[in-house]
Amino acid sequence: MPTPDPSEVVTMLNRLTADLPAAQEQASQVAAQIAEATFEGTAADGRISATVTGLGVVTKVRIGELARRGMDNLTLGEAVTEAVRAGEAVGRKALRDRMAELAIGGRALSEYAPFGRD
Amino acid sequence: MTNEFDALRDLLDREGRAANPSAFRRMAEAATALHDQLTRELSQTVGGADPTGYVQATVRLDGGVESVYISPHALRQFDAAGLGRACVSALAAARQASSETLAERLGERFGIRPGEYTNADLARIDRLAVY
Repeated sequence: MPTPDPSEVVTMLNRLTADLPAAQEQASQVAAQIAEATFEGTAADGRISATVTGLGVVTKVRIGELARRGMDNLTLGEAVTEAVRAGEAVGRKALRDRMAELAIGGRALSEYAPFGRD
Repeated sequence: MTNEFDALRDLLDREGRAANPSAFRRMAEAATALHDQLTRELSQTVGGADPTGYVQATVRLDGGVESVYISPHALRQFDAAGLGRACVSALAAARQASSETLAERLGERFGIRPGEYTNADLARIDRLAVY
């Protein structure tokens, strides 16, 4: 591995330092937008859905009439749980994707941090 | 009162300037122990119910939904829309209980109370916990 040119390292570090305040501001904005946004998850082939905010607050659970009549109480509860978890997962993915787009020092944040994990 | 959080902070304050390997090892061990205990606490669950009590939700202290129980009576009592609203209500009650329990546990077991520690304290310990 070639030894990096010290002047290039200094330039890169200066660029990182200069970009940090703007990146912090952008990250705060993204987090606030995601917190207010709503995400939907479904279960039981779409017969049950849950709407969840980016903060994880469940604002709506929709249970189809066919699901209510056709499922037993325990299975229905499990399906509601699954729909809520799916909604939360969509919200987490949206936050990861938006954060990964942010750039510091001319490189996407995803190049510095493991945004792929759940 | 001494607790894990205060002990770790004292250790950081006392040994932070020394920068010797054994001090760093003790700090890492203290941070790991704190992290493990926090993880155990956050995996505990609490419950909540809708006003009728026919629909119940269980959530972990980290806010994740563990389960939703719909009683046979709820299935008979509510139409589809009402059942959905009862689920939302039970989940909200469980999350409220989760927030309150978490605040209580952090205060009782870790000595962490809102406003008592600065973000810098928390960030410093968080960095240690990662390594």
